Amino acid sequence: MRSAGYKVGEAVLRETGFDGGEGELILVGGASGSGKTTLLLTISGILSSLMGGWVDGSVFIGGEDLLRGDSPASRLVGLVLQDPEKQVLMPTPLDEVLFTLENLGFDESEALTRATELLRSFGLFDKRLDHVETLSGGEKRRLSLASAISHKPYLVMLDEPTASMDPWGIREVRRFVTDLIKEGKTVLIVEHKIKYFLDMADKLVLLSSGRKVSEYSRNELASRDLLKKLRGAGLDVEPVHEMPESPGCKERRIGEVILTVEGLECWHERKKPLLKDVSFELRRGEVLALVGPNGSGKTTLLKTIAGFHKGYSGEIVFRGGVRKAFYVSQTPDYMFLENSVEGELRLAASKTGRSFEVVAGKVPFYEERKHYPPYRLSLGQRRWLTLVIAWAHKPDIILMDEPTAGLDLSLLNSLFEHVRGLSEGGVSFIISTHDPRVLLGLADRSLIIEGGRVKELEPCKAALMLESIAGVY
Amino acid sequence: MRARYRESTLFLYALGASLLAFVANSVKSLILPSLINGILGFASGSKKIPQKLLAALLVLNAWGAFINGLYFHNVGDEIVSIQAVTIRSGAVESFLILTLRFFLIVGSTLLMLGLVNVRDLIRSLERDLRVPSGIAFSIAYAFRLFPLLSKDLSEIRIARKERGFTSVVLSPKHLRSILLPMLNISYERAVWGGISAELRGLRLRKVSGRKPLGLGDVIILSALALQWVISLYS
Amino acid sequence: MRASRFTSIDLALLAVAGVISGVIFTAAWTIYNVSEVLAGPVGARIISYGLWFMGAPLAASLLKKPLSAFLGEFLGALVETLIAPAGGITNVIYGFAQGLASELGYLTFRYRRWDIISGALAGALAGLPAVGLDAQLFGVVGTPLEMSLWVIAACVSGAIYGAVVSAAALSLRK
Repeated sequence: MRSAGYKVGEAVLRETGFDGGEGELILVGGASGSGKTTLLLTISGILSSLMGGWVDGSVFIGGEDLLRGDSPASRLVGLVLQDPEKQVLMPTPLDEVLFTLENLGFDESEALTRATELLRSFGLFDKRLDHVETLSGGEKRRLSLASAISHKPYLVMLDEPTASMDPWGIREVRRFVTDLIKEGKTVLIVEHKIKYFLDMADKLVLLSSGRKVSEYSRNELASRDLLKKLRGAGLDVEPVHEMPESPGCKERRIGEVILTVEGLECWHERKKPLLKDVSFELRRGEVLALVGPNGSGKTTLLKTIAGFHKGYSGEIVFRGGVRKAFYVSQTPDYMFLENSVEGELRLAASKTGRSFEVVAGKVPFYEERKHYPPYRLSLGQRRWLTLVIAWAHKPDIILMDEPTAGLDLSLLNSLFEHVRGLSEGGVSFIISTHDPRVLLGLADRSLIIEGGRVKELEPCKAALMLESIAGVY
Repeated sequence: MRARYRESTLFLYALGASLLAFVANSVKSLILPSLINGILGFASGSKKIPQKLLAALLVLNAWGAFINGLYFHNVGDEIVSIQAVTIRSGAVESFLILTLRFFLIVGSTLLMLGLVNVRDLIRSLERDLRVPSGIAFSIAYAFRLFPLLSKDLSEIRIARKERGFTSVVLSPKHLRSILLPMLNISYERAVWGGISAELRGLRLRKVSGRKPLGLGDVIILSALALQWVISLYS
Repeated sequence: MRASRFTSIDLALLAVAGVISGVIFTAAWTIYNVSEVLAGPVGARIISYGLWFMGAPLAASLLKKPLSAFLGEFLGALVETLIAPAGGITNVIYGFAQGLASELGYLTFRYRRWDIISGALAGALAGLPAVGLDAQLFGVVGTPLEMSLWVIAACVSGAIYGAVVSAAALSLRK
């Protein structure tokens, strides 16, 4: 890539230019809404060819202008989307990898050889003909990586690869990126949690409101002062152990026990229990974090407590007049039933007997967004809204599944504030997470799920454990 | 030795057999094709499709055919009379015809589904029958999405329950309140899916290499033709 | 008028419409069987038939392009066949005919209207081939009065569900 510069219509992106050489990692950072994803769509030519956008400027790879040719971007660029759920298109892993190759006109036998090889090296060979929905989250992610590079592109781009990823996955992506760099590919990563790639980056480009605000070389990135400055700009820069004002491990046990779980065993198939011998208690106003990799049974445990997962044995006892726990899914959209924010809140108020004004008063963006369909709010706002709806139902316990996935630092802080406010009012939380930020900034206690069993670990130690698994500690 | 055949030929076979069910309108003309397809189909389909589902399907259809016969064709000689209900020969004949049609249609479909997997079928439709690549992509993507959408549906049910709604759909308004979240979630997913497809060169896709017609294809198509002939001349 | 004019996103949306309709079509069997017992042939048609016509207005309201109605209905029927072979591959034949009829609804407006009205019309039109195919395949032939009642019931049902699904789909787009 020699140079790239563009001005994109309606001022989503403007005056952004940078370049990268073979075997280099370019890291693009910026808060939510800074135009990071638009940048990827622009470079890949999608913005102009598919989305009806327009681009002024050019993107060169090895002398070819991606924006001028007849859709050559597919051949030269590989893109890994944020969520493998959205990237994977074909029913089986083999088809998924073959898809790109066949589209690009590879010879049939060559495509098959290459796909088979690739699936083998990503550990998916045995499952090549299974339906992708039978794959685990980790396997799906590996599939999305494999299919993005099957056609040997020059430039590989990753859109917020750590957004919904556990530390085990982050380690895998880091290894993937390292391999690509070794092979001499140019890699471009767009990410607000830049800490996970900072040590490998050759260049950091910062975007803000669609403009490139600064660019730093590898040498500059080594400086402490710079990192402090970046942190001020709302970027998740440092691994937790280096964070200056780390709150440390604190004890804040409040209230009486309201939930006791004793000897719980959960399963999808009776013979293969997912969780065994789970015992813990929860106190009023406490925030309990449930930590473990994707697929370890965190969601199942939450659903069991909420009464939606029937495959279990053991005891779940609510005490102190508590009747029920309210479950908030990882995907906020599941909870919306109306076509406007106002409608949602009125519905919540009428179903729970709370006054509408009080409910609406809990939503800081209410006035400005009341006619918006909830689906068109930002992710942070949607999570906020689900939390308000949950609260309206007057639960004593709120169960949240991965509430921080995809939130940048400022959205995260406002979510924390909200949760803290509710917990001081006596609501208890069980939050499933693999985000170290939750453990340090919010959790009173944490439980680690490992091999189907749980054990208690201090939140700050759990956070360090996660960062070390990710490979940045 | 296994005779080679295109997967899409079985699709044509099932389609042809079902069309026969539309055309044939007597017990005599239906009985042979129906028995053949019914027996073969249920035998091969029961490997892939849960037997409980097949049984339920059978019972439901028999019941439907029975009611249908009573409603619309209860004419002719009296055969049985149970209290207020009199069953006449017309009803019995219509019941038999409908049941035979059911065996022919579902049997041939099950035969297809039992012998090929959906993945190969879609590929063969595109490659051998020249279904446009874009449409073939849609079918494949639909097949990939299906389990995701069922997951969405169960999550939406949970959320509805939490918010004090029943999970049963009773009216168009109810239907809308389930459709809306499903569509919203799928819409976003589809936009990214489209981006992913575009970037990976869907528009450039040209499928080459039709599989040559094999002995299996000839056998399958002859079997279909034979059934038509038998049925029309019996 | 070729499918190649659809963008990749359109094709993905078409798949979504296909799966959602396929699921609804499959569920419609139970609803039909239950309602036939409870509400008789006319009632059953009003309650359930429109469910089988939803693929076309759903896809058309999402894509707003010629042929989208036909393909949505057809794909839904194909998905129905592949996931739950309740009606076997006949579904595909029904889907084909109903899809064409609904497409005609949008054609009447020269592909200029993609709103609730055209959605309702598309749903209503699918009632004609549905009742016709019923007569041919399942021997559902009644007196002329009955037949016209069934056609009206199927069309009314199609119009209602067509309007509902178009309204839901249209509210997604900005």
